[in-house]
Amino acid sequence: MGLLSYVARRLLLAIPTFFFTTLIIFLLAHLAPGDPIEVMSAWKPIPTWLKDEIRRSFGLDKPLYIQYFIWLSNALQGNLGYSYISGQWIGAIILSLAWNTIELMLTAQIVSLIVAVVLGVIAAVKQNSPIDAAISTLSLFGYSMPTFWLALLLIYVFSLNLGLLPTSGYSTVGQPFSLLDHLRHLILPVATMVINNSAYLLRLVRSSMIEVLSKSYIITARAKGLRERTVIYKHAFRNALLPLVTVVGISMGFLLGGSVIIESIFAWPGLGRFIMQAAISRDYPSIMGTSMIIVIMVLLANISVDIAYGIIDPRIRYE
Amino acid sequence: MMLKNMYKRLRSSRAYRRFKRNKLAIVGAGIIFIFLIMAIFAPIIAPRHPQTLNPNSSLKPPCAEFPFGTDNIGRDIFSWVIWGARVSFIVGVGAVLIELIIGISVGMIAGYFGGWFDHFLMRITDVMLCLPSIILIIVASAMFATRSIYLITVIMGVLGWPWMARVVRAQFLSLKELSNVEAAKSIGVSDFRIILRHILPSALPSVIVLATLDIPWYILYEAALSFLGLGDPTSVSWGMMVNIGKQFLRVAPWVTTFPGLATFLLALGFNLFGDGLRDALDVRLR
Amino acid sequence: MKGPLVDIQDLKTYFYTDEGVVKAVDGVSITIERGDIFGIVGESGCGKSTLALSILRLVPRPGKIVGGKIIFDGENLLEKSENEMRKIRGRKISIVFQDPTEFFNPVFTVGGQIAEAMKLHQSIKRSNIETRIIELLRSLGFPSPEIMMKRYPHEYSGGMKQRAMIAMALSCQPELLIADEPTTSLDVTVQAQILDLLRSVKEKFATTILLITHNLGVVAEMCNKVAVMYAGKIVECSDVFTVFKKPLHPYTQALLDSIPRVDIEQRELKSIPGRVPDLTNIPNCCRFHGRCKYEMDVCRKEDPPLINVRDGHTVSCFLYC
Repeated sequence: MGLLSYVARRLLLAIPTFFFTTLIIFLLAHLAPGDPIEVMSAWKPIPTWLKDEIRRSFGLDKPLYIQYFIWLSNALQGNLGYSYISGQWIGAIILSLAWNTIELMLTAQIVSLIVAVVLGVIAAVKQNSPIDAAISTLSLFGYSMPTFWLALLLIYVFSLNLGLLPTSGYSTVGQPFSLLDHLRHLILPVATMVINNSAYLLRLVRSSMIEVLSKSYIITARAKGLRERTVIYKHAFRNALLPLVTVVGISMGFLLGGSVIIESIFAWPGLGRFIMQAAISRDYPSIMGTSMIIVIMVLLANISVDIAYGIIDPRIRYE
Repeated sequence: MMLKNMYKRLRSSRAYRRFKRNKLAIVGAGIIFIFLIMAIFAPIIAPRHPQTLNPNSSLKPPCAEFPFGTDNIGRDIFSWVIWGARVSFIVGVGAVLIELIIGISVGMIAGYFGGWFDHFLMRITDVMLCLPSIILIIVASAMFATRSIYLITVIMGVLGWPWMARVVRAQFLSLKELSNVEAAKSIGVSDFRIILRHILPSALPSVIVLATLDIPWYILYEAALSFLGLGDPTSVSWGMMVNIGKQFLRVAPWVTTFPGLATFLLALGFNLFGDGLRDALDVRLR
Repeated sequence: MKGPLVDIQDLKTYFYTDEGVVKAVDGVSITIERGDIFGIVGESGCGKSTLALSILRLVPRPGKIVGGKIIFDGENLLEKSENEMRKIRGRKISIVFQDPTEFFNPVFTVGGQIAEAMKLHQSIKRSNIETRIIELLRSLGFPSPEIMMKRYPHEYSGGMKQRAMIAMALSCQPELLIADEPTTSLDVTVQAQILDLLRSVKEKFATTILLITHNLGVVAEMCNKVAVMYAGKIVECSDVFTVFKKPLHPYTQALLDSIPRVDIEQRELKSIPGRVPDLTNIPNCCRFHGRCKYEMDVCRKEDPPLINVRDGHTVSCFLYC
């Protein structure tokens, strides 16, 4: 049927995107001057012959395209290699870290969406009223705030001064894991992301809703005698969702990017923090492995978004 | 003489009147102006050079001598904030200019001529939009040993053009179907002329608004990079100072507060201004 | 005998925009009897669509109904609460709009949208609704109604969409059907079909129709009474034959004059000199002033009232005062 072929087409498109993306990251990582051996020898000088030995054993002396294919064929079989720095199997590292990042992202995105939709619809329906002005201005403030500053501000107020919430970490050290404790640690990082993200989404919901409310089929719906509530939530909202759904996919990309900062500040053991450390120490396999997972996550998010779009808007299925 | 005419036309135009009524937009413009003055006249306004160390005055709270306090090696936060405006403007406006040049050229050709070039371009932009570019920048920044703000500006502009290209392309796609273009074509006007005189002027409002609203994004971006330590270590950047202050958050919150506040305000200013611009020019993006 | 179905008295609907107050409907009075096909004719921007929306009190912001009465079936609609109005919309008074493309919600099936009105106003069992819709669609000329009702609006052609709109408007058998330029955006052949459809609807369901158009041909063919509207006011109103054969108002005369004729020799097409007045800045004089052949002094100073010249034939012009 229309929907299935649409999904199939989206999946097919994801494959070249995947290859292209990993290739770019690979090139970027390797084209920059220096390699992990140099970084290692910055700590403790390594004689040149030993450096060459190490390089050969890691396959770093082979031409770039061969290195890429070796990596790719391994990766597709699930073997992401070992970290240059810690020697651990990257697959294991990523598995343990990925969940933490996903937890942070999903929670933040879901809460952002709820806030954005509720406030955005209110602002649109009461367009140009004081409530709308207040909501719009607040959202402008929200997404002008630098994430890192906002995070530190929140830590300062809620953690250091009011002592309500922990400053960082995944859970309190030394105590057995409890859900409540974990949730307390989740609040500040998620709050930071929500403030930035929902502000951005809110504007979109509002403008999309305003545009839909001025459309002719809304007049038809009213002319049929439907209650205003039905008109807004059934007729207008579903159409207003469409641009929002598209942006949700893209904003997942932004959130993942922001995770680097959030995870650094809150010492959250996740992929963002890991990839930063890997980049600084030129740990190629770690960089590639983590990037691949991140790219897959973004692609999955975008595909789900495309599918959701196809479900909501019947016109798309027949393109 | 021509400038005077343009000025007169600007003042009487509908867009200008609509803009003036938007109080927030005026505030935004004011904020930008203040920071611009700060950036241009930094050497004159700032009490001392921000990178001067005063080891005796470490972590002083705001006082008469140091209105915003000092950091742990005695740098004057107030001067840092003033000088930091330069970096923000250079990166913000610079990246947008690069993005404009590449984005308009690409979008123009893709939108007007279509064909395989358009398809190819759209695939590229699809991929680039999929990537969390922040990851790319972090990876790239971490790689390069010597980082200067100009390098960062170029990287950001180069990574940012897909958005601009998309908008320009969409504009061209719809504008080229208009009857004035058809008429011009039928009397043999060259493509180049058509693009320049018939389509570009109408596409300009959207482009200007998008560019203006991208500036705060780049300013925040640069601040984030500096915060992570991936910026230019020799530059005076607000993000860098926030990073330094992070360690002393409990005892000396002013070190993080003021530079961060400056970033926030400048971004806010551009956002307010850009919003007002969008409402005044009646543009709808995406 | 019951009174007229619709009695609009001195209706005023203004739009409060940034550029000024647009007096879209400025003191309109019309009487529509049951069984009429009442035409309102006028050029674009004269306020006829606003008039239609005003009856249903659906005027969008920044518009507001600021004065007058709309007596429908003995009751003043302007005094009703929003709840009461909702019971009337779709049930007693329905409206069909001009450009059907945007008037269906693209994300729901056509059948679903028609059913919505039925479910709301009538207590029919779910199982019966589908049969009713199929019947309705079939009676409006749809070849395979069972399939069509499960389709989406973008799968319909322009003419089909217009028919579907009419079906939706008729689904609850309203007493008054307002048709706002129902044929303007359609091909001529489809136009004819839709007009036939409207006529048969009137006969089958005894619906009173208020037909709004700028096409004098449509008026001549369909309506039994017509009101000519110009710049927010009614300038002439009577039965169709009188208005077409013996037009009294200079505007009506000019309109009829400007229709190109094939039976006599014409050198140039006749048009009406001047332009429609700016509705934000209406001077206190006759609105046709500056374009009228018979302009007199008083026309520049006062606004002519609507007078009954012969039985039922009203005109708003100082020539007849």
